[in-house]
Amino acid sequence: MTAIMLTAFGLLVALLASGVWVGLGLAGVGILSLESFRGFMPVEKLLAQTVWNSTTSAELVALPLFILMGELLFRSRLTQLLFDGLAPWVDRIPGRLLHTNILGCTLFAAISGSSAATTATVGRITSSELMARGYDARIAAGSLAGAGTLGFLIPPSTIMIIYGVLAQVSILKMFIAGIVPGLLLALAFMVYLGLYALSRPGELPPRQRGLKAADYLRALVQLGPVAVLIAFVIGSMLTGMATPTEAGAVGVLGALIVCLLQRCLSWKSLWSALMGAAQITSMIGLIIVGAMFLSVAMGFLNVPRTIADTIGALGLSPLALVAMLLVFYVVLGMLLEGMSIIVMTLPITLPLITQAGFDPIWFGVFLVLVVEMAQITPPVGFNLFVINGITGMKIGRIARAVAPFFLIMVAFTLLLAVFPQIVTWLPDLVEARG
Amino acid sequence: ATQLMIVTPWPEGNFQVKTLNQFADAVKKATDGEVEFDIHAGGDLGLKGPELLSAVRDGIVQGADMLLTQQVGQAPLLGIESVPYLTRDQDDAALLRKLAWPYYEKTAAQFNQKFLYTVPWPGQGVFTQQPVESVDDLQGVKLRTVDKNGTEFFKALGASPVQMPWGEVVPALASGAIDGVTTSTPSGVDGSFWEFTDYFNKLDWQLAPDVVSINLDAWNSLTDEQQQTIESLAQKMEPQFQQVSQDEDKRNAKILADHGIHMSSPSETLSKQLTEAAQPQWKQFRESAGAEADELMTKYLDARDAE
Amino acid sequence: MISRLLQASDFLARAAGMLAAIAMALLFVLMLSEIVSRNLLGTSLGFTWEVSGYLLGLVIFMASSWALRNDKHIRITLLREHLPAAAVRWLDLLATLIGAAIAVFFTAAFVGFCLQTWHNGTVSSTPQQIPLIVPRALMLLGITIFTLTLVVRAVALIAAPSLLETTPDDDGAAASGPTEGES
Ligand code: NA
Ligand code: NA
Repeated sequence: MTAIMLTAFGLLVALLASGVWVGLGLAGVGILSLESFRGFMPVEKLLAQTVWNSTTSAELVALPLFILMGELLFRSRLTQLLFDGLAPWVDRIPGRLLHTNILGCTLFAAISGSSAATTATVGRITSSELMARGYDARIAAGSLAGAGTLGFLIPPSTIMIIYGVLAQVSILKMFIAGIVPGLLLALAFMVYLGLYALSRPGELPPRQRGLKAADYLRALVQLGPVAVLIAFVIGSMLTGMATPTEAGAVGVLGALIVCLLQRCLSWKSLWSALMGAAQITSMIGLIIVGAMFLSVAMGFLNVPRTIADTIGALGLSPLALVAMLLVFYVVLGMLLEGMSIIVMTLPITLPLITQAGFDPIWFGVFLVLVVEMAQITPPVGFNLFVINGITGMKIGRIARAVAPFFLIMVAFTLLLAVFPQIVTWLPDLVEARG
Repeated sequence: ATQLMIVTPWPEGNFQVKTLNQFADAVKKATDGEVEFDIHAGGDLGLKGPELLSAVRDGIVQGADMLLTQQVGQAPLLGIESVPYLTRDQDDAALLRKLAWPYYEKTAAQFNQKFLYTVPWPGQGVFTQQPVESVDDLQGVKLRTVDKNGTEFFKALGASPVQMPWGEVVPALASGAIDGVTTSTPSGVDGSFWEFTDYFNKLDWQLAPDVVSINLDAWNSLTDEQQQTIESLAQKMEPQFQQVSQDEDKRNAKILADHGIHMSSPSETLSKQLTEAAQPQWKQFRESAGAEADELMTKYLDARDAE
Repeated sequence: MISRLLQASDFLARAAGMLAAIAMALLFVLMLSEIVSRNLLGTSLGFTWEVSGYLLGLVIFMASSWALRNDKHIRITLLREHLPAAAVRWLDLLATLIGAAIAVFFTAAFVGFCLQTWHNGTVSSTPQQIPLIVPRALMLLGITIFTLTLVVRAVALIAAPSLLETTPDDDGAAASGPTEGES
């Protein structure tokens, strides 16, 4: 068993470090491990079947739909309106427009299923605008990277859909469970920004003077389209018009209508949204395929079972177990992409955590949080890449700027371990009402 | 010792997995530990169901506990027990099971494997918000169905069949995207269906049998003595396991009733209407599943009606 | 010569990418039709979930070559950032060759899978009973083009690495020709 694990780990490090595309590399490790240690079985047949099963799964269909929705909105002026609408309302709060990152990401997270899309779309508008108004580039980038991660925690969420499928828990229940922690985390980020601003009097640009009632009113009007779109998607789910997956299609429809109304929908932009969405879907899909096959291969080699037995035999207390898993995932999250981390480790960790008395729904939220941390830890962090792409800021500099937000997330995760009710009370409440 | 890797899509704790574990223990004991089943439950090897017949044939795994209904894409004859309302009660079901077994064994051999034993799932009924006493009560009901048989059967009965992945069923029921679900009592308990529906009519319109199957190469690598031991264990334990299935049905029916679900069975009139609605599919099965399937169906109906 | 090869490969990749975009649009239309049909007409279309799954598989593999050409697929660049430029080229070649080898294994596996599906006449176990050879063969086409793109990339890295310095075009790309970097 040690030989298998060392071989697999060595191969993984070698393939990924040499720059092999992540999805192919993960699959390659699976293929080589099986060929070396279970050579008598038809590896190629298992591979083909796994590729087929994992890419044609009906449960994944929401993913391309939400990606397409994001691509369409990215080409609309909706996000622009969002920030113009928010500006007057945050003027009195310490930190002022810095909060637009948090608020904007929180709102956008409610319609987009992914962190990268949230970060990219909101960041495109805020980063230039914040710097133009004299805010420090580092805190702007840090708060954007941190808040962008809310895309996964606040429903809809592609990570939650994948977790729901793998852990066989209701996706709707997962979505509901993300709401309270998502809002609390956003609040924690805002409190930090407020303290940051108070500790540096005079460093922030001055307030907007002479805001009148009309300005607030106009701002509200500007926020209208976003509110309608969000209500449209969420409403379709609550009224039974659409299932959670189908809500992705409703979101695309809503985005199309927004683009039509704003007159920014041409055949050309529609086509480029489709091409863009197809490529992002392919990127994520290839990683899912590789991660899926690697975890299947590890399953055939009985690796998860052995590790689970080892960790299980440690007899850790529930809280110690959570702390240990947190460290484990943060380390993994520095190197690997979040989605594949979940796929690869879930068969090991889910049984452990449920045995320790935690609810699978709670663990789903825990995993979403560690995946969010993985988004902002170097060397491999999607949000860091995205912001690097938007602002040209060095990855290391962004990573340092986001460090306080990372620490807030660690503390928040431990808080959830001590008070799991923060996660479970809302889904339980909804369930109790039927 | 010989280790055989056996997969099943059902999660640990399901009665099919429990009986499979019991069988594995019995085999290990009876062969003095020489033959061991390495059971992987819950699809942790990425195999989901419809491909299990070929997975065992190709030796990806040495054996599987698979749902026969899911294998019809490759071997249509294996779907006979799921033909709508072909069996009306437990006696019919036992008769069909007995007559079908030799045919199953033949099909299994064609797919390079050997079926050891079969355990049916509890019969399928309908969870609905309104009582189902006659066919009229099914008109326009948006009912989640799984396979071709169910979809066409309930369409013939006037319902509006809807297909969606199991993961969507509970949210869809909760929000009213669908009105009902056709499934068995254990699944009703798993999904806490009392939160969304008030009635369960146990139509028993379809049987869904599991078989435990072993790859023939793996089987032939065992000694004659081991083969005989395993075969006789399968024969001995099969009736016990089938009893477990029935007990499971009763236990879950009680849980449903305790949570306020009204349980019922089809009246004689409804039973006649169900038989009538199923005729096109009986015919279709005879025509499309091959000559042997047609022969088996005749044999069964003759035997059933002679009683 | 190499430039021609890359041009041809880019043409294939882009064509596959366009197919993926069409599959993406179909997927949306299909899902929307199911919602409309169920809510307004009271009947489910039935086949939407199954076909959407196949379309997703198609999008993933049909778009994979074009995504590769546009550097959309994730790879870890940590080591590259700390190496001199000459070494980076050889490392990239090594990674591309390994990637191509894995992709060849994928292709071979899927050829066998498709042959078996064809031979058995396997249909889906759903009410639609769709002959599975259709979606599987289309996916195989996507995987094959992806593999070819990787192989061509390896050839170009050996013979004319400068050709790869620009990506054909970013997202969209439909309006203008595929490449600027070829001439
Ligand atoms: Na979200
Ligand atoms: Na990371």
